[in-house]
Amino acid sequence: MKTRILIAFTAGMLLAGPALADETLAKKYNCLACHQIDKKGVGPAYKEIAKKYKGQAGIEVKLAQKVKKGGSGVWGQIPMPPNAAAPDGDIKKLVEWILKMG
Amino acid sequence: MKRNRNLARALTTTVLALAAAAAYSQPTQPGRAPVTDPEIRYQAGGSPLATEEMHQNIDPKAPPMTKAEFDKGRQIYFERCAGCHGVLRKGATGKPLTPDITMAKGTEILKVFIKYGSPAGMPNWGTAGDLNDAEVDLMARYIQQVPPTPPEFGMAQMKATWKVIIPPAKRPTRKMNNYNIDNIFSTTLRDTGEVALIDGDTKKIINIVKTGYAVHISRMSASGRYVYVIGRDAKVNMIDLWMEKPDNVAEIRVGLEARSVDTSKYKGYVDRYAIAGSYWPPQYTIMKGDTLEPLKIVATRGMTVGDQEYHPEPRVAAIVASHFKPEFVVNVKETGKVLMVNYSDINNLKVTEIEAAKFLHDGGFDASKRYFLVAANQSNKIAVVDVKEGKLVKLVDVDKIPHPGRGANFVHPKFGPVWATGHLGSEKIALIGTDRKRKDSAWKVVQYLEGQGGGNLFIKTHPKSKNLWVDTPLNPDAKIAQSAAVFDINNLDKPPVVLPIADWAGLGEGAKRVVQPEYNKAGDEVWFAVWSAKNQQSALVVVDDRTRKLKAVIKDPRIITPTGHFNVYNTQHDIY
Repeated sequence: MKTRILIAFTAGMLLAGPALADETLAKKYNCLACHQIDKKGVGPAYKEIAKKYKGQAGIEVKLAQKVKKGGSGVWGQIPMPPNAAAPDGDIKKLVEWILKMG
Repeated sequence: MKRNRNLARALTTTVLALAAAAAYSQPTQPGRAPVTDPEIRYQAGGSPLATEEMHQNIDPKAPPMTKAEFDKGRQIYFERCAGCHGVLRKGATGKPLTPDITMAKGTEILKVFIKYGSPAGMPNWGTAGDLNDAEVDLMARYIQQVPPTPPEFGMAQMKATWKVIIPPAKRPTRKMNNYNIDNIFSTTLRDTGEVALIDGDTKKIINIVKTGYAVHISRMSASGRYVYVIGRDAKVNMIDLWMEKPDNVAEIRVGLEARSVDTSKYKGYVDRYAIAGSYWPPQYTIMKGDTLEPLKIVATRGMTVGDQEYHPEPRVAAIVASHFKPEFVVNVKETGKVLMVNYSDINNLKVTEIEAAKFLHDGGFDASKRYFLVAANQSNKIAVVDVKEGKLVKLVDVDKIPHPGRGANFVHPKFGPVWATGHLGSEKIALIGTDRKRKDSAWKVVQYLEGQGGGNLFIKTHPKSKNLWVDTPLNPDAKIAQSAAVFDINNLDKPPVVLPIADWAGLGEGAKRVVQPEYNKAGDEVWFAVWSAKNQQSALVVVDDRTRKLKAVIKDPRIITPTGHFNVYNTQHDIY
């Protein structure tokens, strides 16, 4: 029952357009284990990230690298683990999705 | 590195584990406050399951581990993690950590959480210095394995541990000593696995009795002749106070980890039955009152209140005995149910299941003994149960993580009879009206008092006293942990007077936590334990209740790690 609702819900999100579809990517790659949209968790809030970087030239490429290789120091000492297994295309979509929140 | 090795060695002693918990008080992350230090100290204490052999299923998809790594991970898990995440990792105070969840997150993310903690309350084990990077990595892999299951503990295992040291026929037929039995104190000596029986009149030690490890409570038989104690390792000991030198007459283990024991108190059943509740396996055991022979074991596994989902390890928390019916009141933590277990016919056992709230823990009766008030500690509620009618009366919202012990009953100048509880998670003391005829105050928090701080475990008064005593042994501030606050019941708006109980003990270096105010029979003395580590001197401090001045300090090389004490008469008659 639960699964069926979830499938319907996910399908609904896919139909609703790219913004929501990328939230399913964020779930898929476990981003939401540490990040929330508008609240600081273990990692910074997506809205904070968007606010910090919005409008900077070449930022998409830089952030995509960070997602892929991980990092630490910008938002505090807690490191972000690398996501080597995620395809570049998906990472690009995720970064664009995050930056749109600013 | 060296510190970590030393810490690893210290893992086996919970007191040191508790002391290490003090390290969390230096926040390494801004904003991680939702779980207070006292809570971590309280929850993250070691479990005796750490050294149990367990069955392990191998999941080929989980990250590989050697047997030695797995055993080390298991030991760390049961000493640090099981208190919150559960034996089977189904979650309780902490989140569930079953392999479906942990494998989806993966080793790298898990490592971040274990090392740095989370704002939701996970302690920062790595940055606090308790686990090194290799141990963090080990634990991240360990929690992706299928949780190993500790063995069950049924009738055969119990019988194998059951010993009648002196059979009833060979026990004295009358009191063979000159002690004023009503005023004996049974004091837990936590780390040595003993209780000290202390003569409340002369303040002299009567005997040091071998028991289980870290005796959680002492309870009296309805007659007041026998003392029953239970260790964290689920060992129950029965002590006969009529002997020339009171000592053990029977013992048994009822599981691998436990917290509660009590005896039949209803008229006609005096000293007939004893009952013990276990954390693992999740069950309670009814025994013969005079020999501890196990008669009936009842599992508590089942459905939770509210969402009604199956829980595989609902631990048995507090147990009390009704004065109105031949019933035990058994509180099941994870399912949130209060079980009224009728012992009038244990072969055709009738159990009334009262739905309360999840995470039931400890509690006590109101002054009339008709109502039982129990903390649902992680739900921040007090459940009020009418033991005469066998019904839930009310769920009362209180502050963060109530920990009443048994609570304290007194007459409030404005609101009439109240029952009071302190909190682990805040400085507040909640006063709940208990007179059902008073519509303005019944089963409501009529007043909050401001104590010294969080980390309170016990609160106490006496019908003959006008003082309300509040300890704070788990507060991270040593000054607060080493003192006790006392309120004047007739002037509750006045701030409490803080007494430096640990200083009065005149001890050297040590944690010197001041624990568990307990009255003597007459209600004119209050006893405190001043609890330091195993290799340091501890003491008991007796305060004159009327003058609030030091009356006596009990020091003895045998008083090692005293954590609490129970007066025979007050415990026998539920006076608190």
